[in-house]
Amino acid sequence: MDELPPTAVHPVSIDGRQTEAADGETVLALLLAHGHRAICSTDRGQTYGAFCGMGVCYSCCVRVDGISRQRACQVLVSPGMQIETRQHELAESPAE
Amino acid sequence: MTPAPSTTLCPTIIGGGPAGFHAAVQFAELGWRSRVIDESPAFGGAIYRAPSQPGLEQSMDAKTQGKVASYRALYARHEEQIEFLGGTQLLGPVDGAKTLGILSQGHFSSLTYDHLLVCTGCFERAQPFPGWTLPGVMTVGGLQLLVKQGGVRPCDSAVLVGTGPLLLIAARQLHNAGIEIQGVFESGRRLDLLKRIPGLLHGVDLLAEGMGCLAFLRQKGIPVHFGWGIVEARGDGELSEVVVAPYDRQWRPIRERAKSFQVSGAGIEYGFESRSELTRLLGLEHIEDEESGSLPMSDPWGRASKPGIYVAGDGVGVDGAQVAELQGRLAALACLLDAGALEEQEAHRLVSPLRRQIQRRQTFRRAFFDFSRRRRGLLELPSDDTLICRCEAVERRQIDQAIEQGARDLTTLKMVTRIGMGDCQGKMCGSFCAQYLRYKTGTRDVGHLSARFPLAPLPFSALAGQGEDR
Repeated sequence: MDELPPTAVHPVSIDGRQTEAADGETVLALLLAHGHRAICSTDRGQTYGAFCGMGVCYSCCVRVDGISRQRACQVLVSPGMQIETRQHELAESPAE
Repeated sequence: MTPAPSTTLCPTIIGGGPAGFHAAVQFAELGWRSRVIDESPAFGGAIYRAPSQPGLEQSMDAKTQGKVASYRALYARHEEQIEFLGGTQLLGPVDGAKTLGILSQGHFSSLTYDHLLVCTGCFERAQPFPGWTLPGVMTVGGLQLLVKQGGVRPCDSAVLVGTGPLLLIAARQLHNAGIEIQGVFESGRRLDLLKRIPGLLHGVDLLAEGMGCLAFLRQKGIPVHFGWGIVEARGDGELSEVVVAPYDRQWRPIRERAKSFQVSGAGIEYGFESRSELTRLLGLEHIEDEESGSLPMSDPWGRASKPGIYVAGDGVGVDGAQVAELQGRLAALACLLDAGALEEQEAHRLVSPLRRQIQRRQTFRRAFFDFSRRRRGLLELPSDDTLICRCEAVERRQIDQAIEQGARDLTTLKMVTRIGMGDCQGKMCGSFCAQYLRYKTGTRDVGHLSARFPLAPLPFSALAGQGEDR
């Protein structure tokens, strides 16, 4: 009765690998806790990490449950969430 | 004053940070409902938002914890009167009078307002320099947010570089979170600050906090250098090294005396910019402020240039959270007075102490302006291949080429190079590009990057029928 109740955890996956995330955690905090900093690949060939931490720079975009351009710093984890880092939105050109 | 039961006055407040929240509280204290819209799941803004993770609050520093708790208590007291629409992005005006498009949980909808209070706050300026786009380089506020609200250490070691009191406050917070702060580098000169003591005395408590931070850092052996600034960040795919140097009077690095630090993190802060995207979309009049950027014009009570619209907080000029709280209350009182819900005498009685306090705090903040004023050396920091626009990966050399070809305003620069066309809508690159254009061409008025609807990326799926699942 004197202990704090344990924080709820949710099963999530990062780039196909299963792991756990704390309830209320942002995707960015989760990724950083796992040592992933270079997480956002743009269609212009750059790979960025979080810059502003507050949702204005769009440098921390990852794919969440198949949807691209999700700002990792704004999205809260949910059970079964599939997070993919370094995903371009445009398909690679087959000619190159 | 008891409101008439049949009243429909319910102002809409954009932004639930210190200004917006206190506007809502002020309405509630006088018996009026309001509706607050914020992108985040909780009010408080970047500075005082409670962490979404339960239990993290205990690891915040005492002052922040106290503020978070006081906000929670205030909200609990007035919950009945405040409708909080969290997780909601404001897209801008849509067809129809006084109608705004919003995006929430992937669904687009619209809301109409009768009275609107815009309290959209500010963001930390992006200062380009070689290597600034390496993962690991962040704004100082970004590092703070991850530690304060994210419960994570974004790096093991860091340097903080830039200007203004935030550097010291953040250094202490980050140190306490277990990050090795190898140095704090303030580009302003100590002498410039000492000259401002009279102004600084208008905020004795804040001055004491700053001195306390300095003493703390000294006690922990964390070096604080005045008159030093950023030169370069290096690393192979990620940040591993930061180069700083003493700055001359124009903030140009004296490279022969540069020092390098092996760190995995860097917080770089060279000022703040008010968020004026919405106020510009609303067609309000603006003025240009050297420190804060485009600011919606307002009278001393916070009335904007169109009736029924009020502005408060860092979005009207970056004066900090305390001023924002006071301005939020002030704007709410102006709104009630204008709506006939408050008597003139009562309004003045409530407003006078607010305006006195605002003035004192602003005098304090403005004492820093000359000390922290960005000098032209910052415009010369980027190399040819330094990215200026992150979203569209535009290098400085491309901007130089556009200028050679005759570009003299931001809109032309945007058309030619694509700066400002990405997701951030020019928030990261716009201010630098404007200053760079002025600097390189001598043109005074380089115009603006037009704010356009939608203010946030709007997926087509959000426009699918209401209530339809993906």
